[in-house]
Amino acid sequence: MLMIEKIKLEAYIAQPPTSKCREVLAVMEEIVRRYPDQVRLVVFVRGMPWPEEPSPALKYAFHKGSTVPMCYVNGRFVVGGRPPTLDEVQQAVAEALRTRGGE
Amino acid sequence: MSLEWRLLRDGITDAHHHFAVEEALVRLVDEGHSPPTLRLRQVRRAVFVGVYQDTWSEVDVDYCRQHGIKIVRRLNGGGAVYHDLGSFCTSAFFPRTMFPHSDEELYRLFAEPVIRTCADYGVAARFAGRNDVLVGERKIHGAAQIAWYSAFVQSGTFLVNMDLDAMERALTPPALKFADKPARSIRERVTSLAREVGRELDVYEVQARLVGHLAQLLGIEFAPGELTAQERALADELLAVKYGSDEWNLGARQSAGVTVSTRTRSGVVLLSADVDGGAICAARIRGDLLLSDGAALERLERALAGCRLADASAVVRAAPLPADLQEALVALLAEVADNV
Repeated sequence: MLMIEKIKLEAYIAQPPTSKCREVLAVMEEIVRRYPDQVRLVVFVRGMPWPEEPSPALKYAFHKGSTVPMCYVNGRFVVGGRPPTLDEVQQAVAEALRTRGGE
Repeated sequence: MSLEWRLLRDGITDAHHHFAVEEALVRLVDEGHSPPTLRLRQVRRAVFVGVYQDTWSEVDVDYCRQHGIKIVRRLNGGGAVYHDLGSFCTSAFFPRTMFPHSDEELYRLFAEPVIRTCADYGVAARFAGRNDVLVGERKIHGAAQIAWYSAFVQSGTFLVNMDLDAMERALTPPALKFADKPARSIRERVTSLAREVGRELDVYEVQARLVGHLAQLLGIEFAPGELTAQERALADELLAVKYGSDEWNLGARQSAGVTVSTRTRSGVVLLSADVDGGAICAARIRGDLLLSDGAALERLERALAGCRLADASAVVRAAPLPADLQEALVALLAEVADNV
């Protein structure tokens, strides 16, 4: 069976999570729900160990001490400092899927 | 008019205990129970990690454990730093209103005694950046601040006879940290007073000179004192519940989750998992699922917590769930395992 690499969603949140961070997680998890088998979400918590290697752009943001929350889709910045809307993330995912499809 | 501050040399050299005392002091200064204090301290080999840092990516944890180097998470931000008895720290605890200066000006103000102390040894140092004292392009003193409600801590670390090799080995700085700086390694970026002078120095003598310059520049009279019973009690409590715990100092190796999803006949199922060293720390299963046994997923989550990834499939297959849901969860667990 052909395995297509999943679109990677990355959320960067505070520890403990603020209400904005919880909103981010709710939006991102909804995206995971809407795109079964196509996306995966990795949550990075400020000051805590990484669950896996972050995308280079997010890694750079960590070392610049950037604000939380932040959202990335396949290593591309989507929104920071506020929760994204479903539309914003969905648009970024659709774009990533389109790009992936063209490869 | 000269101000009187307590000069504290409590002799605590354990890094965890040391930070417990620091937090106890700033809390009690804020509450008005402790006087303005200058604390001089040395700690045995330890790495201090900034409060927002990921210990596992900044520090070679295994090396530190093998070599008895303690790891402690500070109360304030900034980067990871190595300490041993060859360096010493100063912490000035005071009500913030005591100084009219801005935070930036306080960095400069407290750097000046350091520069004068270096000059005492014939070393030309200068204030640079936001909070560093450099000799040439190498850092010899770093500073940090903590604002705790009405209290403030201006702290600094003076590298006197630092073991630069151990420092370099214990820390694993990401390459990005040096991306905008000409120096590429810790050894190239830091120095010690002993290195500049070319001989081992008496740390206590350096401390005494620094205190003398601080007193003169700030118009402060330092009176030797000790920790109060209240300060000791609070520090002991903080040591027990916070600074002595791996949870605070290291964090869990896998503290944040990976969430994946797939479609089943029962509906879309989401699996979130925290994994540590091949074992599942926590699992959460959600989905738009219609199950006859509503508590089955909750029981499965509990069964998966603490389970080795290799054994997780068997645990899932033993759960009273529809076969397609079981297979979907097994596939999702495999996906999580593949990315650990």
